Amino acid sequence: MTESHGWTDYPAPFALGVLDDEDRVAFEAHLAECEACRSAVQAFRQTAAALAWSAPVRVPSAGLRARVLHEAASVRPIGAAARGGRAERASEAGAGSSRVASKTWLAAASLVLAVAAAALFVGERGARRGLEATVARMQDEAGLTAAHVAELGADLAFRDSLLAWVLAPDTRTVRLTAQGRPPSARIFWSMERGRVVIAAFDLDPAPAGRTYQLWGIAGRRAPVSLGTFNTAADGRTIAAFDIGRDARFDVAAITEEPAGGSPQPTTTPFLVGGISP
Amino acid sequence: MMTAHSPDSAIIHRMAMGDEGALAELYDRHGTLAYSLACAVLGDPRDAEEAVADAFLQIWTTAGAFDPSRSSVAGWVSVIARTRALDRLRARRRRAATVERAAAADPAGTALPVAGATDPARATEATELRAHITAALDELPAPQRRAIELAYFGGLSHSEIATELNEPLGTVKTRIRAAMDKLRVALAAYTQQG
Repeated sequence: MTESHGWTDYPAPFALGVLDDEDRVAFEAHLAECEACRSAVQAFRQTAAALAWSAPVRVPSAGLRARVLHEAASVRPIGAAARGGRAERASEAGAGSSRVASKTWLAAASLVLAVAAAALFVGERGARRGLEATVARMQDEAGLTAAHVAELGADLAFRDSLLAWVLAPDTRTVRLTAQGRPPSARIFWSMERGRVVIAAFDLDPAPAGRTYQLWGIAGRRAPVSLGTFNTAADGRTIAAFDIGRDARFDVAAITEEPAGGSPQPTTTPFLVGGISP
Repeated sequence: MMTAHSPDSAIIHRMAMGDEGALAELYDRHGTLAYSLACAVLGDPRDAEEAVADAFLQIWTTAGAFDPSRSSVAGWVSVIARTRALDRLRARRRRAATVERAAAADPAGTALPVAGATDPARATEATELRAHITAALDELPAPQRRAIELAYFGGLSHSEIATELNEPLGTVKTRIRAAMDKLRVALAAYTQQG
């Protein structure tokens, strides 16, 4: 491509992530067929990445290091020797697994969306190239390669296992609502298997230092914590909890609590649903 | 650019094999950079911790996908940390129904003259890099620097920056392009050795 092709002003702002959507989509389509612009983008990405060093130095707490290592212990890097299926990990870790399960679901959802997008655009050359450029950009941002595609496949298997469980005859569905308005949540509950899966929608992530906590209430007894979870930036999550095979509850409720959860609810439940026998 | 035998390269390789000790080493080398960046984006230290935890979980699970031909490890870590921090910033903006740059808050972390790395040689290298980049930014005219900071730390687009600064869109585009050209030249030596 020559220097006069009209796109020379785009690589720098593209690498910085500052292009408005219309310009970005157009340039991504051009990138798919312009090696010169791809090289320019690569150079400007390194410039943009260097800007991280201009942030005033802040020293993280020791607790953050411990948390990072603790959370990593519950998942394996892509391609590393597996320690068991994802569904098993989600159940064996109980409340602590909700973060991982959420990310797994998001990854699976991303794969489904990518496939859907590919189906929509297939056959239209320019749009397909735009999609390829988008994928290349996403790969660059997230460090994704074919190995990640393998992980998405594993995540899809995890989702399939969840779907099979949700559709099992002994699994009940409970819808938790806040007077018919968002947010909402749906619980898939098997007392026989002692397992609960919650899917939440339109629920903003809990504020810093806070979390969401799921409770089961039997009659007039005190609520029993079933686990804590949080949603992703898009307001969604899916989390699985093992609650014991003997657990029997009439009502499920969600409250916002301090990070780590509370022994008993400290706020009024904002989502409540009855569990039919 | 990172060489095949750099310490970072060896750490990433061990992480990809599932070595959790390697993750600890990577965090010790780049955790301060990621947290500092997240604090600059989010302002709130608790939000920044959430973003850094998200980022390192992603870094851990995708270590095998890291491509040294595309960036240094530090660059890769910073891209992921920034992306996760901007995710949270945008979610917060949606909640507040307002656009704000969260630079006014007072992060609880302690400002230090060095990167906080445990390896003295590494700390010296980080200090030099930080000083060079700060100097490059200081060379920019104030309006160009402001536009770059709104884009990088605020995650704003051209039109959002124009609105924020009450400037014509074309002016903002020109400023950012000019600033990036200057920074590219000024930082060439560092971005190439990563």
